[in-house]
Amino acid sequence: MGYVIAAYGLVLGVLALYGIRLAGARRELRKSPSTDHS
Amino acid sequence: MSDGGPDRLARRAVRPTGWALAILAPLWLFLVLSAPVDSVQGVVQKILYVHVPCAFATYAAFACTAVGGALYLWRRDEAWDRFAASAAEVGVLFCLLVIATGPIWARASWGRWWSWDLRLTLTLLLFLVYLSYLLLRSFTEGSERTARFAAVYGIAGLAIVPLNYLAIDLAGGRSIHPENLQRGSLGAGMRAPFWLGVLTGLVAFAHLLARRVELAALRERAAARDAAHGARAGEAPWAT
Repeated sequence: MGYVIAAYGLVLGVLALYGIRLAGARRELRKSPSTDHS
Repeated sequence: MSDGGPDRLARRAVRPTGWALAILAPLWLFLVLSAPVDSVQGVVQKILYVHVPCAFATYAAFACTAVGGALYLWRRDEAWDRFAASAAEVGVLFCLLVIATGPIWARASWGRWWSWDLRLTLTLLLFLVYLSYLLLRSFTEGSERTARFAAVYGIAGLAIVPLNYLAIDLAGGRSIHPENLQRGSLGAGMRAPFWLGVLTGLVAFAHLLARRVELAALRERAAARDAAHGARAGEAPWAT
């Protein structure tokens, strides 16, 4: 069971972290005065 | 800066793919938990429901890299170059997850982490080819020549995908890796979590790709505005 939890935890964790990182970078750029929001 | 097709498409796809993922992922996990335990391998067989979807997402990502590269060469629209590079980044991530979950399953069922089997070796090669694509782009950023070379490299790299898929047949019975699934090779109650897993993996890929393309377009726009602002600030004061 430990192997299964490790595999699922790895996949879900890595994909969630990547998604959060992309969302964070997008938020930073949106806040940046040089980005046109129009 | 061009705001071409893939940028617009990505902006529109972020929300629907996000909602689809929020619905599909819990449903898929529920089906995985309620799927019957394999009589031969036991519970470790459930790694199939996450390992194969990651492999399908990898194939889709590298196909997108090749298509984006081909469209860049045809139209010379940098939006397609950003699309190709974004797909390669997401594909390398999914390929890394295939390479990570495979050995976990192998350790539990074969008793060892790795074997230099044709399928495993070609998966590692696929990962290294597209990792090199990303490194190449990061070392020689921004030029049209880099984009042209990356497009050709991304198209050529796609040749490994069918080889990887057919590796078990090509090995002619010497492969330790399980065969590709045939009709009826999944037991009762295993088809739904498997195919829903594949669908969820592809939707997760589409969502991350849309987010990555959107981010690349925003970065490009910010850089273009900064450059324009810098050029204006650098003008001689008496010119105004």
